[in-house]
Amino acid sequence: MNNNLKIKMGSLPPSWRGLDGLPKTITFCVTENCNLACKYCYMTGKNHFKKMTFETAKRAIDFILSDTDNFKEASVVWDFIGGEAFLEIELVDRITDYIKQQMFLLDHRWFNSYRLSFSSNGLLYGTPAVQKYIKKNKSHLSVGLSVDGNKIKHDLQRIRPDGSGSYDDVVKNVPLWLSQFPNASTKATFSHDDLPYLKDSIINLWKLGIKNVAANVVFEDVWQDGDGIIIEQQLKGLSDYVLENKLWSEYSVRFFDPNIGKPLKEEDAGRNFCGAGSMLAIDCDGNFVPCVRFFNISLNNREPIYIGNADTGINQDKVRPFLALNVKSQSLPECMTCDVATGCAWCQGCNYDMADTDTIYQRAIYLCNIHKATVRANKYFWNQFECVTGLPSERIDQEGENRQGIKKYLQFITSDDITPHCAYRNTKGTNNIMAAEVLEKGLAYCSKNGYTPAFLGIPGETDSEKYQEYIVIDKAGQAGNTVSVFDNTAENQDESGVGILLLNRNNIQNLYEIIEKLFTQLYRVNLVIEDLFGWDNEDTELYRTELDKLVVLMADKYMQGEELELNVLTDIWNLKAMKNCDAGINSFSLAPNGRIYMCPAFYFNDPDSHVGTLEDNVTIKNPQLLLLENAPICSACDVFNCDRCKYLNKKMTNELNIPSKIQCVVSHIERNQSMKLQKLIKENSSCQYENILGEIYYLDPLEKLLKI
Amino acid sequence: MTGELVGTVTEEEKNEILVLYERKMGIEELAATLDSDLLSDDKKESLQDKMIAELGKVTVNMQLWWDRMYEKYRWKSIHGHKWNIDFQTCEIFLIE
Repeated sequence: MNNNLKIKMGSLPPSWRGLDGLPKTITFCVTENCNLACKYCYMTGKNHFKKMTFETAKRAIDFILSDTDNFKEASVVWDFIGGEAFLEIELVDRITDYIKQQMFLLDHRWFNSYRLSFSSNGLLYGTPAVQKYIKKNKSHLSVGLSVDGNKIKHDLQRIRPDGSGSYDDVVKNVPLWLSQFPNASTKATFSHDDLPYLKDSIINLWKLGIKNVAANVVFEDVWQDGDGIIIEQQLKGLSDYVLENKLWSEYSVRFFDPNIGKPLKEEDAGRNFCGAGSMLAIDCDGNFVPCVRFFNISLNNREPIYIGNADTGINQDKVRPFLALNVKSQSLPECMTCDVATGCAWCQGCNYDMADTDTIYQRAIYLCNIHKATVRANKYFWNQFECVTGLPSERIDQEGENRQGIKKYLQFITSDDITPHCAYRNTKGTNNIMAAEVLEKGLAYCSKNGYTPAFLGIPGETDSEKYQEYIVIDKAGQAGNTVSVFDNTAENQDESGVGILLLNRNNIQNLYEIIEKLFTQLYRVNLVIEDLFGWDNEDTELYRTELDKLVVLMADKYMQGEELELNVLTDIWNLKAMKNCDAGINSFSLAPNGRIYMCPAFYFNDPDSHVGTLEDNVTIKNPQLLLLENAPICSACDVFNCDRCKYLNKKMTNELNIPSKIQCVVSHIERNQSMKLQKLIKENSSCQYENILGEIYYLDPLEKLLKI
Repeated sequence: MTGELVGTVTEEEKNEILVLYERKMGIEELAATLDSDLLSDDKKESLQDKMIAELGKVTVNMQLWWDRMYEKYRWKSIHGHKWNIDFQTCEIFLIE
């Protein structure tokens, strides 16, 4: 998985953007009839009698194609909706033919850049008439089918007029649909009643082969107390499922969009995220409205806002309020300053329908708590993602987000007896245990200061279930570990897919054997050398030999489709810059004594080397020495996954920012073996990497530095 | 897209060939509308004539675009292989 650069989770295939990125969308409501009566449908006025005539459509098309002043876009999406548009496929076909012929005969620019779009409930998808239409227009067509999740959830909402569910009849058309539109997504909609089925629903859609799920929640006033807890639990469960099954590179659901749940940027305030007003929708009578949600059949409390028709043209004064809309002008002040504002969506039509007066400038905020719960689960997913994969979270802004935007961790050293997870060990025989009071204070400190807690060991003498939601790193064999630690052995494997292997110099010759065993259960191993300060040339040579054997093993596994990950060999392939020890910058450790350290190694070495307490702020003297830019050797180095252990630096060179020679040599041995493995895999597969490793002449970048 | 990546074109150059490609697809899919009764026989005939003429033009223009781009970029070529463009990325691939 590590070799695949694409993290798909949370993103959706881009919609067609035409020539200039902003195609005009023109929607025809060809019928107000539907063969379903979905409980949550906003079109509450659907009926069996009203449909568009061809003449009405023709008048609208003639008007639109002749009005080049108001329709200046380079590209167009001709969209068909109902009710259920496929109920009127013959009418749609006739309208489509007319559009195509007229665009061509009039030499209209849209002939060179148009699409036909449908949102359908899928019941009629396999009928000969619909299939004939699809074949006729294949290269210009996109069709979305609505499948809501699993059978229980779908049939709870998407019912026929007689009350029976529609799941089975829709699902039988999914394989045909996916064969014709392989990248299609479905828009599963969730409401109060069906939240308990959210996790299973998304999984079911993925299992049906629908890899992109544009899931959303209804905007209306349906939410009840406790719904936030349910959606958060459901999404966290889904998150665990994704990580356990390594689905992040192939599957996606919008709830895990890494861009949601951030504060608004200044420029966001002046934008609008709804296309009402820049789109045009035409009802069965030929009336123009800003979007389908402003149709008469879509509104419960308000009159439609008509912005024109084919005979009178478009009333620009009616359009102006839509064009002028932005986030700020329709939002409450607290929404503008909300810490998790991005991705909190709204529907302009719903806003209008629910507003206290007949205005489009009052944003409905019924889903506020649901959005906040979604963001909590979203953050949980990406935190766990980082922890499990070792890859950076997609939530980190690619445009150089400031350090405060990056995740900060507080590791809880729950006792002096913990199994070490990095290059440290309690050699003094102390027996301190973190008291519940310190632990609670630590969690409060995290909450107040924006730290993500990570438990080293299971908190003793406390209600362990209470801490299940947190990252737990503990010795292998324990239930509930996020990451298991294997202390110089491959024994006691548990259900976690990721493990840390601690290795000391007495076990170098067993490295291959241990990792081979671990790979029978784990897909990722983080190798940590715990006593590098004691290694000599003989040790490094032995280490190189063992890595050599692992290169062959892993290359074989890759050929068989098993993309195993060993941090020292595979992480560098996806890195373009240093990503390593964050101790003292974004990661600190809380010891049983209530003091805060740069990392556990400093605590176990000297309990007086703390950098703060829970009561005081963390204070580090010469903090610039922790930064890469103040580390001259590391700045010149391209072993981006090197441990850069600050404790080891201090211990061996007396400088936090200067690595020891053994650190550099071992890292470069790993780099060279990584290069070998990468070449072997590249020769035999189409794998692509962010970082292609080349030959270098040195094992210690100081040599390179001194040559310049 | 499969094949060997041999070069890229600019966004403007990509849009030139994209318009031609879309026009060609549009004309090809227009043929099926001739079965409908939307046009009189005379109009149908003139539509058909226009389609034939425009299809010829667009095919020639597409070839001219590839010739012009090859002249400019000198991409790798292999006998029996052809170039393809990825409209999302502006990348040119050599495929068998």
